[in-house]
Amino acid sequence: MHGYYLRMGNSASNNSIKLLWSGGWDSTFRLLQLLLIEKKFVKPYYLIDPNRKSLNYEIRTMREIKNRLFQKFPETQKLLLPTYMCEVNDIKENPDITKHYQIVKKKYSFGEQYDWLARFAVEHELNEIEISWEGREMTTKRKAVLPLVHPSSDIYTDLDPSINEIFKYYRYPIFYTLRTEMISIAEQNDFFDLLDLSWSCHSPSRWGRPCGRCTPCVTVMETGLSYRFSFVTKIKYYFFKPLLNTKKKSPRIYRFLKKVKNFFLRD
Amino acid sequence: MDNSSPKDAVNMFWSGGWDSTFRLLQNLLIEKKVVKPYYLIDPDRESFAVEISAMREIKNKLFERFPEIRGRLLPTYICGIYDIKENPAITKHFQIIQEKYAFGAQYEWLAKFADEHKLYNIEMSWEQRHSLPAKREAILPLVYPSKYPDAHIDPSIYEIFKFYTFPISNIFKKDMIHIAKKSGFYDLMQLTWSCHSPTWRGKPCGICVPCHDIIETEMGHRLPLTSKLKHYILKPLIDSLKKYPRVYQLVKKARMLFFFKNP
Repeated sequence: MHGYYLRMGNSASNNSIKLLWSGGWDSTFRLLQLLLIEKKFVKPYYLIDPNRKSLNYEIRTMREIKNRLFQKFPETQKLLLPTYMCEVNDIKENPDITKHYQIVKKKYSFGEQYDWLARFAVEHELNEIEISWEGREMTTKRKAVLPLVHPSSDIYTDLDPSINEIFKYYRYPIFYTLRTEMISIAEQNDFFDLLDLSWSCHSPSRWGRPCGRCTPCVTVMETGLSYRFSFVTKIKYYFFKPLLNTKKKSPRIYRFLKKVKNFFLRD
Repeated sequence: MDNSSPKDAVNMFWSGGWDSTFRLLQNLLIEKKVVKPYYLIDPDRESFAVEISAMREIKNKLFERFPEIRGRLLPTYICGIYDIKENPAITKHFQIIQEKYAFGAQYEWLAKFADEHKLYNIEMSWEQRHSLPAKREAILPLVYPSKYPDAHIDPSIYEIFKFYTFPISNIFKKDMIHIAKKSGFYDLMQLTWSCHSPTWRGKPCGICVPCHDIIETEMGHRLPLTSKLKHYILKPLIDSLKKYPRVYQLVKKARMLFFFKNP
């Protein structure tokens, strides 16, 4: 499968673009863009979080995308290196990073994955690993990271030191690429079918459908990709949207409703 | 990216199942060794996410109870089987033995993986059994080299299984319980996961080969009541249905229609 890479020894690995790939829409787009448009060697990284209900789906999706990719574009077998996988619990503790993460979490409410991603990057001495944040409206979180997106800019100079410590390891190549633009690029370059295999939902239902409620599902609906959801998922999205707003406006009511749900739907 | 393990580390396959977890804990707590576990993800196996969760849980409890072993249990090397390098020689040998003894597909990719990563003497946790299937008998000279010093080994069997050692091949599952209780790690053994097809609610299916083995080896206490009921009621039904392959396939398809699982 990756015999060419192995014959080349470490040179392919050294020249490769390091990319965090989860099988989701954005990272899959970037992977395909690198392989099929920019013709670069790519070394994907995937961190396994067993608490995430979608683990099965993400791994199967990545396998499926790889299989179809190699079938359709056999030349990419040389360019795509084996995925490096690591369980989140196996990442070395790093009190400094965790301290900075606590600060940015309080200020900007970043998810806990940014703690272990930064610790992973430090442990494996990864600089300039690509993270696929797609283009969308400028939120406080995104504004805070702007100086790192434009490292050589004179305009964006106000960088929070803790943000720097958590986000300095990455490059943000598709920060301004909208998902609708990704569709056109993928169609122009004949890889839309592969991109459409991607999986984003964090809590798939028993029947293998996206939940319509988690953050990636909400983002799918809000970024012009609603065609990817079935009727049932869309109904769930519209039904639970007011509930998600409750989460923001009245967290206590939200927590109570969640308890009621867990009481009736416990394992 | 360095995945190499220190020279004195014991390399072993660990899946979070009963046997490999027993060997892991034996290595760490009784033999006081440094251990490098390897886990290969087969996306077609429905249980891989549960296995990864079980391994995490075991590790967490282990570090809580025996903090001193933190440095001796190295991070698990995880790899998708679709990323293993092709190896036509191994595939050829595997096809020969598969025809003769009907070995599972995993022995092909395990051998390819061991060869690619130059893993010799990696530990495979096969337990002692009262009755051995024919395929296991073919490997006996490799499993017990001192018992069968001059025995003839099928060259293809040798090429597929030469990478492994079988350190618990003389221990029965029931003996493992005694050793674990004596050495104070039985509670960790209770966290292991063996079922290949967990239900949506994360319970053992009661029907697959490992679930069947659990009941056969008188360790039924490890399965919840629902799984045991399935074993005694549903399994005989499925087994009799298998005698009529076309009907069986039809039922299987109908089930897939209602319990759609793959993305």
